[in-house]
Amino acid sequence: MKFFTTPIGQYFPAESFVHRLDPRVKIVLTMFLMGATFAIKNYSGFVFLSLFLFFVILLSKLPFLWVLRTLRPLRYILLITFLIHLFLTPGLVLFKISFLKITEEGLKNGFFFCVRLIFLVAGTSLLTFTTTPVELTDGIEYLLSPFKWFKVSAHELAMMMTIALRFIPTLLVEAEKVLKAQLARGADFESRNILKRAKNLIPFIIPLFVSAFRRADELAMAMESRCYRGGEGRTRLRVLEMRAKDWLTLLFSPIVFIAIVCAGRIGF
Amino acid sequence: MIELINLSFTYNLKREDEIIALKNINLRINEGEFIVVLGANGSGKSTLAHHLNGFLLPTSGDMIVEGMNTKEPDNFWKIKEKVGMVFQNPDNQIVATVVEEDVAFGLENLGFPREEIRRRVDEALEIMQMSVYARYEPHLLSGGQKQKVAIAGILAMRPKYMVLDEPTSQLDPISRRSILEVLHQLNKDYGITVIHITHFVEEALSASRVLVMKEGEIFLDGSPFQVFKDLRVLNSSGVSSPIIATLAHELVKSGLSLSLPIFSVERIADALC
Amino acid sequence: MLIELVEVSFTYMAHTPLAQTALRGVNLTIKEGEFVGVIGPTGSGKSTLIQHFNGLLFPNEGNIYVEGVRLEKKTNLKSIRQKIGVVFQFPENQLFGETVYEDVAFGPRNLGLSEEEVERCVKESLTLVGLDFDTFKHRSPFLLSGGEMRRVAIAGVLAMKPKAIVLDEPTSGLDAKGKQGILSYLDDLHKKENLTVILVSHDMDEIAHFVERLVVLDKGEIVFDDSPKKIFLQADKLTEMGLGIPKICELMVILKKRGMEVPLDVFEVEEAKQAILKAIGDRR
Repeated sequence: MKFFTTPIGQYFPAESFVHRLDPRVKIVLTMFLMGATFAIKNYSGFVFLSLFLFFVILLSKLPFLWVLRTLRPLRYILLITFLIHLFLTPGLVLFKISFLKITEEGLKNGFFFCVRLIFLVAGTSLLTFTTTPVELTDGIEYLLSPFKWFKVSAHELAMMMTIALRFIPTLLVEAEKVLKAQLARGADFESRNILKRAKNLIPFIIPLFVSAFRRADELAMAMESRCYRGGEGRTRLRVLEMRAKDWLTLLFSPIVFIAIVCAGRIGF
Repeated sequence: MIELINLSFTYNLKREDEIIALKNINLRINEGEFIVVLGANGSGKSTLAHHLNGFLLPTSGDMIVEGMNTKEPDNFWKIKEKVGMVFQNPDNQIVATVVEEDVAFGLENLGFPREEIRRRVDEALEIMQMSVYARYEPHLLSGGQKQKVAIAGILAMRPKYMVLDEPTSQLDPISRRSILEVLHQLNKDYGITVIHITHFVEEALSASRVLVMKEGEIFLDGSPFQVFKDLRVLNSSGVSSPIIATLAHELVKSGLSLSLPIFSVERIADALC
Repeated sequence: MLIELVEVSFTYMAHTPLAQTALRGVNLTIKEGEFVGVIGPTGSGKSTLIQHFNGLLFPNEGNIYVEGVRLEKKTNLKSIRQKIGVVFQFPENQLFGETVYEDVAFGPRNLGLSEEEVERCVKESLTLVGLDFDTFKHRSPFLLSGGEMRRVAIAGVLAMKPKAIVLDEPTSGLDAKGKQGILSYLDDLHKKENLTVILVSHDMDEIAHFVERLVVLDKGEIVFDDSPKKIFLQADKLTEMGLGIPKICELMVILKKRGMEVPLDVFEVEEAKQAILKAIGDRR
């Protein structure tokens, strides 16, 4: 039952500069990184960006291979993306195997798209590796708070995320229990027949839903009994505080990104 | 003081499946009491508990907490501040992903300044002897520890009354004992009035007052001494007798002269030799 | 020999830094028709142990045999799970059927029985747990009382006609009446149907009365395996493990210390009464 032992979130506990950065700064910088990957149009830009990312991984004390592993599930998507670009981009023909033409532009486009995809995934993984889900929630709540006026309540969104984070482990344990209980009654979750397998999932899913609803009901009651009435007038025990290094990082990193993008533009 | 005056409650009122859960209850809960409520399933214990902080409103009669009627919508939150509530399932009442933040939840809702929240959270965790776990994720704790976190969360709000709806029913005997000890400590050292609902009859032995409910009515109301005096009456409510009380009873029937009721091991041992 | 465990050890997340050993060199045999109690403090490995009985977990070391068949991943586990029924804690959380009938029928249907046989199994098992077939078959299991839901869940396992039924804390969360109900039906099943019952609990008072044999687990090892009477003589060790002993045993220990001639292996009211009366009589 590998499925149930996968840890939730991808947080990798370590004591590092990156881990200790304010989550808001990290979220903003991740956005910048995404922007940069799309703004770069040249090989040299990607080389610089790779160097930068490599530096951040070193700084965050994450095992390098571990970060690379997150790219594994991506391998087929990368391959397909590459092939589509390789064969379907019109331009200067390099090779020709019957009706399939490989063009110079195709090679370049395919490569760039794959690299961008890799940077996107590696960048967001870096964020989730170095930031606990709780910090992420706080950061998102804070960053979204100006949108109150557009009827998007950042508080409610964050409360929902917090409760989800709180109950995912509980529900996973529950899922395992139900699964085992039904296995003990001779349930077959490994049938080769897909239709049969789907039908067999019912005794697994219904109890989970029933329990989730019951939990929701009881939790609502418990929250109300502790005077929860929405975000209005609410204070917080834990507040995010920007320290000097957070401000400095926020200031300097975009400069680095811009430099990389520009270097990419003028370079080869 | 909490007062229940001619309080009745019916689920699904005026429908085919209506169930009368509480019948004409008159009860006064004084400050500083440690009340244990016993009763078989379906006797109305939980319904009673849910009235105490205004979750349920009586279909007739009144429920008055410190002079505030629960029927008055303005009193809704004020009553919840006075009467804290701990529920049966330790998992389903913890909101936050970190223990200390869960303890802070109520105070955050009430808009306390940060320093005050910090102070009270630390204090509540200290009292519950859970300070070591302040930064833990709740799902890593045992059932008993989770229940202590839940109690700490209520305690931090400094309520006058604490209502606990079968908080021990899903715990192992050791956790059960330690929760009970903590409740007595809160009652004795911090003057919190405790209303503890349980189906473990042994937990009633140390109460200052025991209520036994039967079919929506208060069947017995008195000190453990009074309630466990006549076991036949007690058993007729579907509540079993403490095993030592049964033994003492049997011994008296067989001709020994013991002054009943006796329900603790120490007392019966003293009486015998 | 219905179930036999030979030097069974089990570690969760073995070969990782998070490895946690739950069972260490457990040897245990359970014969047909026994009523065995398994008791131990939280985290002693009780739940891990019972998941080995029907092939939900496999040992890292050692072997398990059910009626002589060694359990491994390629064994026909369905037939093992039919023979050894396991009811987990709060089994009502596994209910899913629209009706009580549908739910209880799940097990027998998985065994590929004909609808006629399924109906017979459902009827019998509901009767065994004290629920009237005609009253309950069409009701939704979700609208029953807590005690009734639990009985339906137990019936769901009994309907597979197991040779042994293993129950993890079957009375947890029920009131006195509900508890007594479940336990006395189990006692009946054992006596009348000669069903092997393995009852896992952390409540000494509750289980002592019913079982003939008590297996005490602590930190993944079997510490005692004997009749309850003999085990309760080890009051000190049990208390040390955080298990406690039945209230009456506690009393007997105190009385004995104070010089009263009472036996220590007594935990029922009637026995205790006789013993105390005799001791007082002798003294006079």
